[in-house]
Amino acid sequence: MRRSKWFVLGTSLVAFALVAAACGGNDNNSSAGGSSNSNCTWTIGTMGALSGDYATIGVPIEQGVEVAVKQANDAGDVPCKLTIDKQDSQGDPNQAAPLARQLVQDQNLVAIIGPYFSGETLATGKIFSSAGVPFITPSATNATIQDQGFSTFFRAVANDNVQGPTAAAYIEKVLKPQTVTVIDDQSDYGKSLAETVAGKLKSAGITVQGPLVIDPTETDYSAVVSQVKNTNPDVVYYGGYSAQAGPLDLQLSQAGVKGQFFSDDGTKDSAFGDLAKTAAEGALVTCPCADPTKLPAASDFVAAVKAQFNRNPGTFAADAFDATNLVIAALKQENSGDDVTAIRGDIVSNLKGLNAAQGITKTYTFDDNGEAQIDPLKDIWIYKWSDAAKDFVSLGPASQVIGG
Amino acid sequence: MHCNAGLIGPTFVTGLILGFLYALIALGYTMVYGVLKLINFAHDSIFMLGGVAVFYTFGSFITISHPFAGVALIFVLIAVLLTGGAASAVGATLLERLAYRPLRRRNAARLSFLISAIGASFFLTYMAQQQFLVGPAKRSTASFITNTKALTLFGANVSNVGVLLVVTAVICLFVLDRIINQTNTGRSIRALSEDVVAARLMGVNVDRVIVTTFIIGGFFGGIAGALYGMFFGFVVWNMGFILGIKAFTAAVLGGIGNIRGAMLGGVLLGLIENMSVVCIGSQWKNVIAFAVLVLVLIVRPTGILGEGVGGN
Repeated sequence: MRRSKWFVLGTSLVAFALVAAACGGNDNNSSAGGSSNSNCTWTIGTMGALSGDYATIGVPIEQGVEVAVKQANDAGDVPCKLTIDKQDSQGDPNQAAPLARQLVQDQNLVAIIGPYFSGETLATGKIFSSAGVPFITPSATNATIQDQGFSTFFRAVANDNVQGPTAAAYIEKVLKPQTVTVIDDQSDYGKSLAETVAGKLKSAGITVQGPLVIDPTETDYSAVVSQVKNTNPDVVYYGGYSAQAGPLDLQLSQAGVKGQFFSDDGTKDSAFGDLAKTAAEGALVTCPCADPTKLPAASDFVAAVKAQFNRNPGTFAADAFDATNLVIAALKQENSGDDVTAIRGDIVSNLKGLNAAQGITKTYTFDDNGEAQIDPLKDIWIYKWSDAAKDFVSLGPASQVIGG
Repeated sequence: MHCNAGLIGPTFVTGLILGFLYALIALGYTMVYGVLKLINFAHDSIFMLGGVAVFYTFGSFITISHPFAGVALIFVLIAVLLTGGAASAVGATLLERLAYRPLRRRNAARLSFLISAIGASFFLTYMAQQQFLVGPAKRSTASFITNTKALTLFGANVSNVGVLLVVTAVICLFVLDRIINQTNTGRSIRALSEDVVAARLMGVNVDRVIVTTFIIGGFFGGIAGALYGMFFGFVVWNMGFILGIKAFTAAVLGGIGNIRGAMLGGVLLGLIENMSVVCIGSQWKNVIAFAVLVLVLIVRPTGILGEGVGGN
């Protein structure tokens, strides 16, 4: 009896130890090449998924930061040499918080590009803002972050309040459906998008079924799929992430639902195609991320990413490049001997004072909450899944695709 | 709330398919309970093992990139189902050896078994979540079968894999029923479930029968895992979590320890869940399903068919 209890306890402890060991984040300090400007260094921190499930989303963003820092170091016009301190949170808020505490201890840390996801941004915002470290996310789109009172928070992309209406406008004006079914995963992100889209479509006079909901922890959506099949809508809009959007699209298609599948930037991930299999082709998503290969202003950036990483820039890479360059521009006004705390404060006030600063994807003006001013048509892009490319390919910014 | 009569047919069909999946998994819970009076909470990860074994064997080890057809497909399908079943049977045997038998040798309290079961379930599930195994994401399974529409029934499209799932489940349930009721092994299992001491005195090798029970339950769980991978097109480390609870519920609904009850409970639960959307939204399906469970247990505390292996 006594021994068996210890046996069970021991088994559980081993299990926990294994889980804990495998979940630890790794921090790689990498100097981003180029010539040293002087003996001093300034650190730009990054935080996001560099390994694990969401690495396919995090790594391209990281590459945008690396290109910007390398270019600055090569040009040599920043008073101190820049290094990047990469923190790999695996996109998990629980891992992000301790990494953030560790990051703000760095005496050379001037700013952070990231965190990349909404959950980890909400989990670490207080740590960064109470340390006075400016943090600019190039990719976290949740529309509650700006209301948390994070004094040093900036966002270089559109939040979800902008994406929903643009998706609805595209559906209304381009797909011209009679009936639309809206589904969401009951997450903060998916639900708010789905409700916005449903509301906008209803007021445009389109028959809307839903929002219906799926349980993201389950994998059989047949109950919802039967409902959709019964309505036989022209468009199915899904608010949520690729891990559920893929299987949902597949199950809809197998049930014989012919409507156009339409989703959001949470679905804009190659995992969608893996899971949706034969149903993936032609699926549409909106994303507050420009496609740099289609932007004339970004051609140098695209070439730089190709040279350094041998690939095209991924989702949000160009936005991360822009965010990093905004920080670098502010750093150019500092002196090498300046106190780091003062530099952090200067960057915050510099960013707040920007007026239509030119980046490669858009111009940047931040409001009091740190939110970049967004043009809901120009800055939201439409992408379509292509089996041939095994990825989403851009159709263009909403302004072009919708046509006014 | 308004009811949509047009949904009755399609939700009946899709619920039925889901129900047979529940039933296959429920067998593992019900058999072990029948013999050991133990709820084998690790059965959900045994189910996962089957799906994952197929994912690795036919996705990584033998890379299959194109769908099969005709006779070749039948052989491949049999190989797939046997692989899943065998992997889970081995897993279940090890589970019995490592997590339950040491406790039984020491006459541990029933609660210790339960904790051991939960511990084993967490261990296996979170091991699978590690990056070097399945990892934290859904993993797309190899497409050795083209998932196409096989027939339309009551307005619902049924895919060929859906048909395969139902046919396999019915065969499994039939075979198991015969094993339990008409073979010596089956007689030993039934004897053990009625009275362990008497069975031992009558010369039944208790340990061997218990292992056999785990092997049979694991085997069918593994087949369910293989079918899951084909039906949904992916496997994932926590695929057993929710399905395990549902299957356990199905076993209780039909009468735990009762094999025909597990069949009936699984199919009923699938039907109740899916048909709940006829009048109410799908967000209510678990509320309705579990309310029905409680109602059934109030009227018949031992489940619809009552306890007892062999369906009598």
